[in-house]
Amino acid sequence: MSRSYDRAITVFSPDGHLFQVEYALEAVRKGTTAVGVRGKNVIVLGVEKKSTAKLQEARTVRKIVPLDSRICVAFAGLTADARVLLSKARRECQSYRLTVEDSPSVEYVTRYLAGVQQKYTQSGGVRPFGISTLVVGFDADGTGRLFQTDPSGTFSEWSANAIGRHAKTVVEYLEKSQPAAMEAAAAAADDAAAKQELVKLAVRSLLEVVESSAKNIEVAVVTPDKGLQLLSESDVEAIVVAVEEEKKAADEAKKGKGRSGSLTRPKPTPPPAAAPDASA
Amino acid sequence: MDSLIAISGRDFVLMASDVTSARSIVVMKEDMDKIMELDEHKLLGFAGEPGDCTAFTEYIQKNVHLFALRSGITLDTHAVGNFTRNELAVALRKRPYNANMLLAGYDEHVGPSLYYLDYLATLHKMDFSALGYASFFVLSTLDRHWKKKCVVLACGISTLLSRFPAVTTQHSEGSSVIVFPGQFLTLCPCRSSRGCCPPCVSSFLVPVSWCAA
Repeated sequence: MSRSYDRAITVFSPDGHLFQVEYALEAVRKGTTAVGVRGKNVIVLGVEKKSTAKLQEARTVRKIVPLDSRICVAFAGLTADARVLLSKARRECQSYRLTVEDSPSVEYVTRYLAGVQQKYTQSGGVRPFGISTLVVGFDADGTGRLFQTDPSGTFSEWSANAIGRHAKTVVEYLEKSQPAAMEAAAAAADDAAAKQELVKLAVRSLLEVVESSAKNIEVAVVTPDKGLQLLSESDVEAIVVAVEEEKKAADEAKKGKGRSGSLTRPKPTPPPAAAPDASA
Repeated sequence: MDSLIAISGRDFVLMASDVTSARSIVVMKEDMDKIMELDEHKLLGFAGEPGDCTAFTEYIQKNVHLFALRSGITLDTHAVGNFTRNELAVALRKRPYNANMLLAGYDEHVGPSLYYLDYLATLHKMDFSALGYASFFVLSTLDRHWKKKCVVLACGISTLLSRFPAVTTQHSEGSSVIVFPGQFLTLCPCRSSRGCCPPCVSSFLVPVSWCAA
């Protein structure tokens, strides 16, 4: 019955669905997880890295990429589609600079990306892009922004968000932990310490759904003056270890003293389940 | 008419231009920027039809940036020179740009380099070069005085200063202190981007110490 409605992507099913678009969303749900956390002077992106083959050059697989000097993207879904879509966005950034002699705002780039994605749900002979993106960066006035786009062409702004596999779990974790981390970042002595808090939050949220190892995580920070900076594997490893230790300490405190004395750190770590439902 | 001069030395390239925008005898402004920063280690100075020059150099600049963003690789000066030449050559056979350029750059493995480009899509690697009015006078003096031994930045500057007043005396304040109504931009290992603009000689001579080490 419904078969005939997913031949052409531009045809609605009787109950109002565009099947191909929904399948594209499914492709995103199967993609590797990506997290974005927005701070005051820094934005952190983290992605799950599929373990590369022994002889493969790991640096050639990137899921966090720059679009413009201060705008970057992390994506989840089909990498091949991302290459095409992001290439269009980069071109638009430079084209914008050429015509109006200003740097494009993060919202402008997001709107452009979402516009392209929407076009591919409404024209003949094409299929939608199988990716969601987290577009982050700083506007000319220095404000940080974090947007999400998806294959249907909608976009929305967030202070912290996740896309890809188990995104729901990660978002739930972020909802619980983001306010405390933001407070800690605001109370931090300097920018570096604030950055560290946010990086930790991103890594902690990723570790909810990713096997605990720096090999499986890629982290990048975006700052207004330096743009995108990928953290080295050893840096990530150090953070992962620190996070794991904190987790362990919190667990032990819970076990040892019962519930009363363990609330020094507002970090209600959910059950340690490293890999929630493996079905995808 | 424009004046653009560039000198390369052992570890620097120096570029200077006038800052007047004039048509016939009417000077329209005296703060025109004729040297564009392509990236942190490259300068593109231009002389020619003003509209063509800005349109073309900005187009080149944006494409160089786009390449860097797409590939994660920053082009070296040689590559940018050839890219620019090709764009000029293609345009020449469709809708030519009347733009002459000097491309100066400092690359980690190559050192300083200077390229001459004209609107007929000529590309040459030079030790020194000049475009516009300046070239009538400066090319011959540089030909006489330029030496590879002109190794220190100060040497390049003094060469430039001692030759340049002849070109720009009409703008100077008329005293022995030359207030140069142009801009100097230097590329050397210790300082990558733009010098002072518009500088007076004294503030400009400060950078000499940068290169002393």
